[in-house]
Amino acid sequence: MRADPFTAELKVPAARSAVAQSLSRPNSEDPVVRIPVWIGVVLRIILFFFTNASSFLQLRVEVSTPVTSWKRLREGLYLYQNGIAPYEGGVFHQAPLLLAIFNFLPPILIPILFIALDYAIARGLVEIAQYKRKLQIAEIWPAPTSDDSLIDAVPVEAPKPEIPSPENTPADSVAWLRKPASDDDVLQSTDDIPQSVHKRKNVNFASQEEDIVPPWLANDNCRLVQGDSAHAPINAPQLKPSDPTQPVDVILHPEDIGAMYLLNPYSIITCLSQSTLLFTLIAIVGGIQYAIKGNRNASMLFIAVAAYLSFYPAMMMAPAILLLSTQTSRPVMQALKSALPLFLAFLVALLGLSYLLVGTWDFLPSTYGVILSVPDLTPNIGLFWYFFIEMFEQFRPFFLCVFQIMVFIFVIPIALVFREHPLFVAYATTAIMAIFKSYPSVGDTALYLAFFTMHQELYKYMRNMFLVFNALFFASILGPLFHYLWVYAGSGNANFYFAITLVFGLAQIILLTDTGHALILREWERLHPDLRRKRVELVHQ
Amino acid sequence: MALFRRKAASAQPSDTPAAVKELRRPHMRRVVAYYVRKTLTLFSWIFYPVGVIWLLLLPRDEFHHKASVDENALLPGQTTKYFSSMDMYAVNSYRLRVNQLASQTRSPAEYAAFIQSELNGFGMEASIQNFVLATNQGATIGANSYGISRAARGDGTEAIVISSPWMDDGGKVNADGVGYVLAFAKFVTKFSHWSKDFIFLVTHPSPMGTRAWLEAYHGEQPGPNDALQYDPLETHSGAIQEALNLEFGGEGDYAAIEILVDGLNGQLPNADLVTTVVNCAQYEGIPVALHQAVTPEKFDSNWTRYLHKADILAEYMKSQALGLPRSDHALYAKYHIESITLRAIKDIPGAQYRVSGEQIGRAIESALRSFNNLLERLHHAYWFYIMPTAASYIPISVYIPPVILLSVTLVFQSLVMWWMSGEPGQTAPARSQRIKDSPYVARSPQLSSFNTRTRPIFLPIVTMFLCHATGAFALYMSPTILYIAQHGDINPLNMAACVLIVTAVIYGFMIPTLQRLMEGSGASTATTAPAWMVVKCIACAELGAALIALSTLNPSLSIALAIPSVPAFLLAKPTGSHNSFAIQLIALFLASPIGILGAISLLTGLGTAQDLVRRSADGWSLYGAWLFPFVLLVYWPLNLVGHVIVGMEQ
Repeated sequence: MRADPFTAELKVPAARSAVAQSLSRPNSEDPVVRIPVWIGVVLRIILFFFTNASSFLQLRVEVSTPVTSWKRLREGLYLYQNGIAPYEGGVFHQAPLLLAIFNFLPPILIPILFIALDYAIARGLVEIAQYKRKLQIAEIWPAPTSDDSLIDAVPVEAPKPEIPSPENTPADSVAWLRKPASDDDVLQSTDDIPQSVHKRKNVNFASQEEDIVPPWLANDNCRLVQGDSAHAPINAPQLKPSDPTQPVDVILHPEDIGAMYLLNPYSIITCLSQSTLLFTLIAIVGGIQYAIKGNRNASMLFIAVAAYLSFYPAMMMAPAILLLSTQTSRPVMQALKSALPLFLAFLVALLGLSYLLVGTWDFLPSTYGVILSVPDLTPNIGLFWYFFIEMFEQFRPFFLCVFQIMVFIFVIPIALVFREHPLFVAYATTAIMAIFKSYPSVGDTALYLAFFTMHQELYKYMRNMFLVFNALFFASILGPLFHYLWVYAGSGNANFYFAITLVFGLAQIILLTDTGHALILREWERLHPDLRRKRVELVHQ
Repeated sequence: MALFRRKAASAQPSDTPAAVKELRRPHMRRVVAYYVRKTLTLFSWIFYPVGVIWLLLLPRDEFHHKASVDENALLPGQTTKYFSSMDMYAVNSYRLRVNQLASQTRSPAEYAAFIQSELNGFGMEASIQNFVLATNQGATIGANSYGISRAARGDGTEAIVISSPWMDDGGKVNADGVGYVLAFAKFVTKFSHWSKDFIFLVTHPSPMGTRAWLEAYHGEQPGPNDALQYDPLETHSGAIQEALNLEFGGEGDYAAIEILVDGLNGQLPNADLVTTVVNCAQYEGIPVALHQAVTPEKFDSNWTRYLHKADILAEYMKSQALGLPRSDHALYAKYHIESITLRAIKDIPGAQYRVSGEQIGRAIESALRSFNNLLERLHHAYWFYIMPTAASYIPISVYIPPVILLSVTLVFQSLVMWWMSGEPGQTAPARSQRIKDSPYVARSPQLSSFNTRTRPIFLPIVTMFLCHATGAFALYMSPTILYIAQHGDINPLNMAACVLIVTAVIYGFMIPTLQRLMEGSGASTATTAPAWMVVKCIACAELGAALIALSTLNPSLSIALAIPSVPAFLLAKPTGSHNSFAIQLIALFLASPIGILGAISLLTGLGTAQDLVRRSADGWSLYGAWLFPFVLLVYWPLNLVGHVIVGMEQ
């Protein structure tokens, strides 16, 4: 791990950066925080070796797409091992180098390989999250230029409020945030004498011995607010409710991100189905991880591998280059100029290696051709299959272009707008891939949800969290159910399942726009301290 | 960061009408959100009574559609019937021989050999399938015999099954049913107008025999450790399209025919199949019963009409909610085969005349001719319906709204909990004022860009995990518990009650106590929401989603579980008052599985409840009925979560 040059660059005050380093030191972590990660691994081992979940999930449309299915890989492998061209049968659509990996792997090691891949992805995400943690600690909320208290009213057109109420008086405006006084239940509980005594004792205990704070208290702000400031995290001055317009952020725990990935049911079933998507995911994560380290060559190699495996991750160039330019302190265009030839060289090398392996260029139409022209309309959780089943043949090329352009077209505006937040660009790009790619599976969703959990500071500003996660939950239950009704019971039809995939896609799109909006709003509030403290907001949010 | 300022830097804003409109927008959004939130917080419970009232209206005739056949090729009752008194003579003589054989021997192999030799005698390929079922009580040996009549005009790719169990549920020999099967085997060979193969199947004991036969027919093989071991089949026909199961436990003197439609897990056959059978029977003048009640043409008053239909609907929903196999037809749905059972009823109140055996034979023949006409699978009509009488149905568009209304109350409750935990007690937003010569408005003091309280997440996750783990453990242990109950001669109801009550007590008292001992006991602080709100938010969302998902598979079960559990979850919250604490606990108890069983035993007697426990456990282990695992993995754990909520800190 390199010494972080960016902290110096951002001119963090000296006292603050000292604490920042002590907080960002990964070794200071309690080993307890690694337990969830290992639970995730053990869960996979148990499910792989003691249940038949794997063979069941390999056939599910939610996790096994034509371009990642383990069953199809075995078919290709069989053909390859028997000296037949693997792409001949029209069943196998995966990259040729995967054949090389599995050609020599004994069958007993295959589940272990997939578990190891998932664990490696999680470790990569933890490293990315450590970077995010450092960014969070180094984040500056500029102080207001004048010491306006909130009591100062802003000059308004009509000073008389339309709805005069006691809550609108300025003195109350601070008090209501300190104490949720308007709710009777809450008031009762906080003022209830035995409970509050009990609690205060606990709080003091916790603040005196910072190191043995149990994990379930880590996110509890009461400790931060009431404890003494010496043990409070870095932006402790702002944690005081003296400025209620500034949010109290909890500093990210990097291991939690790994746990969020490994305990995510979507990633568990993707691993169990032995989907070769995991190779793509690890390449994406590796690309971002090395970009953070400023290692241009490794980063480009990983992204070239991801693009080689499933084409769409070429888009990950955008966050990688943004990260590289941040980490090496070079302009973006310069970083692009130096990285792009490297990326292309690696890609050509991988394709050449594939050619040497299978001896023909047939794999190009069978892999990238299939991803782009979508001939296999097996139902999946994406938006392509139903649309192209229903479409008249003469419109197919046009709509193929529209659909495929739509995947790629968002990446440039997103990279421009959020160029100061490369990790958010990585999140947005992986999310767009997961929603709009031609053969998506829930494994893609699992990856970007891990990136989403890194942006915990945005949760407060999001409006539709409940809607999004309820919709995802409903879609996850009703999707398999309607697929069963359609395919097995025969009492439903394709529209049932397609409706649920639409809900799934819609929920993801709402999540994406909501996080984007939250980031913009938070940035505006952070960078406009005077306006924020005057309780001013943009008319057009 | 001029990037985020948008218009701010560039244009000097003025109070043009457009700007005023823009100013109004965020305000209006907040006001609308505030009132929606307030309304939902106060009145979301209203969906529940609306759903219940709507359900109570379902027996009214306005909601019923008269059953009509949607598939034109079926033409029910339009063919010439050939079933005559000579064929009836065959039925009667077979009935005598079956009864005679049953009185001589108890060996399934001999029964099967008799059927096989008779079917062989008609020139069919007939064979026997033996199977063994190993249970806690010991091994049960059984045998199925079946014969295939190849269609004169068909290519052998499609088949119709006519089946009959050797014995009915009560252990009485189904002599007439077997007689009809054999007589029809003889009958169909006389004609050349059949285009689908016929498979004549007699199973014993059933419905396990049907499961063995169907699995073998569809190429499955029993694993070495499976409880059910069976032989593969010797002869096959094509894909089975329809199946008719005959249960005539009498001597040819019947008052009506009852149709049994709901299969395993409440899955229904296509409405066209039911309508065809009912129409064919009615053309022959046979009264058709549903749940042992024939709907008369005329009623004394609207009230008696309502009561009659409400009674049938209640029976129908009860049977569908359990989702346990009531007869052989129940197991066919798994293989995408439309199937129905015809069961004869000896006596019904108000029967004017007896049904003759020939009428029944002609009705069956007529239905077979209709199925024979079909060129494709039944696909026109509904698979989702509820039947208030044999000749009418309530389609999904009518019955699903009340089912969803009941469960959606929980989703709204979850939303309310989400709001309450995030931003407690808002007042109506005051109008924002535009600041002169700027693109900004002054925000009223009680508004913030972010939620004001943190939602604790650790305690909710632990609570949910512990409760669900208990359910999973109970499912894992259920065979052992049942074994102990059987061998210790303990009533399974007592056993279940014991386990459920002990666990509920543990969860209602121990977990909240443990939470209080922990740091961060789940109580609210100045900046964190109380944990119980988050627990309730998650639990309501999960139960709501589970019940809504269930309503597409088995609406009756969804209703049966939503009616007690929705009020219990609406009420559940920590309280200081003893009275409301008692009310909450009683509501939760009534919604728990043991409370429901208790209500059943109060209403219909202890024996029904005992039988229910045993049958649902057997239904899961023998046939794969989902009721038992659903209750143990989803419903009961969430009920435990309710108990925990009541005990948590405010």
